[in-house]
Amino acid sequence: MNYDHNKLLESAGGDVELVGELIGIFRKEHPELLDRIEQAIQENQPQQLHEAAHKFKSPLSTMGAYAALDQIVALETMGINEDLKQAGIVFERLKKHIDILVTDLAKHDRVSIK
Amino acid sequence: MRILVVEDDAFSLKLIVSMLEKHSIEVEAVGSAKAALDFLEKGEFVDVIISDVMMPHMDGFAFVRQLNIDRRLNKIPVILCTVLNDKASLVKGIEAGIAGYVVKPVKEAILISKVKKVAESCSGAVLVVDDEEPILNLLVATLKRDGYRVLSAKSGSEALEKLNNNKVVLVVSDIAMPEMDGFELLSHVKEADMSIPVILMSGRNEYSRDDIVATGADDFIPKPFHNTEILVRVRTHLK
Repeated sequence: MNYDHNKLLESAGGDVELVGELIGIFRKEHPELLDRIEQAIQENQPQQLHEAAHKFKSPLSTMGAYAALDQIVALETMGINEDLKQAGIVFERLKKHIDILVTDLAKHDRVSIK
Repeated sequence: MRILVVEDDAFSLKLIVSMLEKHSIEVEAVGSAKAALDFLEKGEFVDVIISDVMMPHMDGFAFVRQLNIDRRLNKIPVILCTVLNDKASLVKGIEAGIAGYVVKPVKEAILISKVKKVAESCSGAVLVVDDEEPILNLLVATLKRDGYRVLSAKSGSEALEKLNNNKVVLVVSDIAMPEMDGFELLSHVKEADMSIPVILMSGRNEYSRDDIVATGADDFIPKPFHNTEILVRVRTHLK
């Protein structure tokens, strides 16, 4: 698992329905956030990269998705330091982790529905 | 209790709103500082604002500063809720005038305890008491325009009922009222809570400020009064 389901459940106060809603929100919102990060890197916009990466931090830390969170922190730091040389490589790593995360979250949704 | 949550991230917004609603807190939610200002400028009252920091167009620090320069809004306590877990951000928040700081990922117990603590220390109403309705209405309007939460009562007994059922931080009362006059109300208020300042008002020339203060009141305003005088006295006693 690329996230900590118990941590997410604990954050939601044990409310399984709320966990489902939060997962739904993340699955719906994450493509736009990834697009914003990619665009900021392509256009070499450090401030925009900082802001876009920052938006991922709260959901990822709430879900205990630390592998993806590490990449986000790295991208955010690059934005703050205005040094995007390695940003493309880190972004590719982030996409892989997010893909796995979203697959794991989808599995959870299917289990919940059953 | 009514809380305004300002958060542009749908995931965090959902989580925070759910946590608050579980504790029977009425929640209004908006996605930006601009939307929050529009909401508040309509005259909507909230006890506390919980705001994210990093938001597009206007961040949480700028939002708090904006609230603080508006005298109708600067009494609403703001809790910043953010992943920024560094001392510099906290200091920036304090300098902007925040009432609290909660670090994400949000823990329900911490958020609720902070909200209750902030609401308890910052909120509370000014209770105005006068049997003459035009004067009562004028006082209520004057104080509300200045951003105070105001309760009104047309008699001493109604005032005591409001005092028992609400958090009152200051009482402004006429002296000459039928049944229970301002002095009797003053003694009941001080009996209930010595720390609540009481400002008495009167149109009779027989009272001096010293006479009134000697009865245990905190201040005296002779009638007719100017709106500005009411505001200055209220601000002084609520500092």
